[in-house]
Amino acid sequence: MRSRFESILGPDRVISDPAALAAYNDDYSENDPVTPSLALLPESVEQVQAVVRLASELRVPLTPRVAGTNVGGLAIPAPGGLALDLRRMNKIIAVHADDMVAVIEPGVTQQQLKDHLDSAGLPLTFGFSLGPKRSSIVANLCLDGLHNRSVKYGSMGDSVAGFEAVLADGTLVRTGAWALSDLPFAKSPFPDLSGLFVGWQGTTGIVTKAAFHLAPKHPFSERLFVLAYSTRGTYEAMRRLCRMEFCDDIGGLSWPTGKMMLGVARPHPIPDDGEPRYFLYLDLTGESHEEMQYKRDALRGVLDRLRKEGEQYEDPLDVQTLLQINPAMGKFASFPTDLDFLTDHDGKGLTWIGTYGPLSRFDEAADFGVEIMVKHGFAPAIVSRAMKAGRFGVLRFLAIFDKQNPEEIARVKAVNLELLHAMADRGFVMYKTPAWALRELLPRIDPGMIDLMRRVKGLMDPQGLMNPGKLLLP
Amino acid sequence: MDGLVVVENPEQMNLLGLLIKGFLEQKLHDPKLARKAKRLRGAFGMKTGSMAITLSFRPEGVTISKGIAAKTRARIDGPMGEMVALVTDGGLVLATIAVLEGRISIGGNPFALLGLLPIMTGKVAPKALAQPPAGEP
Repeated sequence: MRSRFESILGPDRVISDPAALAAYNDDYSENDPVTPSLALLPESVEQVQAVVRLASELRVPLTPRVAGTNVGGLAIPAPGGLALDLRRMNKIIAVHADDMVAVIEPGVTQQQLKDHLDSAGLPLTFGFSLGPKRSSIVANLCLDGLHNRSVKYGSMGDSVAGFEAVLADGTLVRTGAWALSDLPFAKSPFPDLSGLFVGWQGTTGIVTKAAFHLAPKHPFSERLFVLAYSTRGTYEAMRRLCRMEFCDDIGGLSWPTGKMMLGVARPHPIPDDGEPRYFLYLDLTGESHEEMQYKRDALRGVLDRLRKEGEQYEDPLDVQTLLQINPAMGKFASFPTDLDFLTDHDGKGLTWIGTYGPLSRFDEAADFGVEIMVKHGFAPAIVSRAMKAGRFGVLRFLAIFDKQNPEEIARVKAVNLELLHAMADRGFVMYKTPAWALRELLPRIDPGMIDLMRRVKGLMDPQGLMNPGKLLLP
Repeated sequence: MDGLVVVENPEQMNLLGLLIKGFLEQKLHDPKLARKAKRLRGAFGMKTGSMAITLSFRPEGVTISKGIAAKTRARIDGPMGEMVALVTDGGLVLATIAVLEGRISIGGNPFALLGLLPIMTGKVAPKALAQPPAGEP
């Protein structure tokens, strides 16, 4: 098998050394590692097509992977399978500045595209995930993650304008307007076949190029932090600010997340009396000083009205001021972020239950999640964010743990399981859903949808070789 | 002293104490401010909102503990925005104005604060400052 893949890729693009293969066997999470038989590093679409055809002939599963930074085991290979490492496919194919569309390969990282746009002097930006600088933008598009413009634009899948993908039989397809137009401006108006590659976790094909929407970058920008003393005060402010539609990003970090950022790897699960419960963070951008001042005033107005209703907040502090107080705040000052405190700790383990859900239910869901985390001995670290002007949002419960400690692994599995069901009880849906979570939720999910997913999978990948096992699909 | 700032029980320390730790570490990397801190003795209380800490100065460093200690030389209390403005934009003159206007209150021996305030409000030499990150928020 190795020599046949080497004939396609060359010997230095096929990894078979067990020590080197270990880099492909896990991610940050508690999911069990699986070492692939080989790791393949294609550099072109033609090579991906040839690899897929050979994998099909040999009936060996393929799992696409770029940085391996997701937190759900989604890039852990199938037993006996191959890791398809797409990092070398890292070309920025085009930036259509006037139409605010970029076309990139899957290996393009967040930092790479940011540097490209900045060095070209283009007043454009894009939605950054909270992943590290080396994270793949295409992976976040395909996994329908969130980003720092989600308040305006929704989840990452909403930014997709079209895909180029290699199907399980090796054929190449372009979706969206790109099927006809040389400029992939939108996934409309044909039937939305781009959706066949969003949220499917690599089970329907290998995306080799993505076209997606960029956002205007305004000359003035600032990030403000507001310390809020209650859950209701946090999320009511978030809801009201969303409806006013003047913030680029609105999120909330619970107090343990703030303490982790300030250097305490494992804060005590119980907060100090009278301590703020959340850092609300807000990104404002504008074309002029006057516009920025208007937005700051609007924010103060919202907070003042909520204070009259009994909520308590500290006045907004801009992140540059906070940086003067404590440089650790710099980890959250700019994108791509550098949230190393979540991953570069002694235990190296990071897991979460991350859900999309209705903003109207955040208060109760967040408080209940905090109770569960404290009960299991974890500091209740929450990272939340409003999306699509407040029509929904993301509520994530993070736990860091020691990957070498079986007792801690058992505890994170237990807390995640309880959180998963507690959030589902409240109508929240886990995103980037790992197979274990889907298995738990299966009795509650509409059976018609599960059946349709299986039929689509059967059509797209009849041999079951595209990242099998994910989404409980063959 | 060279930046030696210790937080007692960091896992249980409040946000104020953790913020102040990084703040003092920056200040004490500046040799001039470190010399001033080395000469300072005793405990100072600091409170904002419902969060309170005590800064205890000793020749070998500063210890931050949660709550206001029973014996402090002086205490300072005010909203976080005022306290932040005091140490970032401030200086003794602005501090005095904030106290006179009632935005910040002090307790204990106000003259003892004359030893602390120059450290808290002192400008750090550029080479001692951490570089802020570039980029958009």
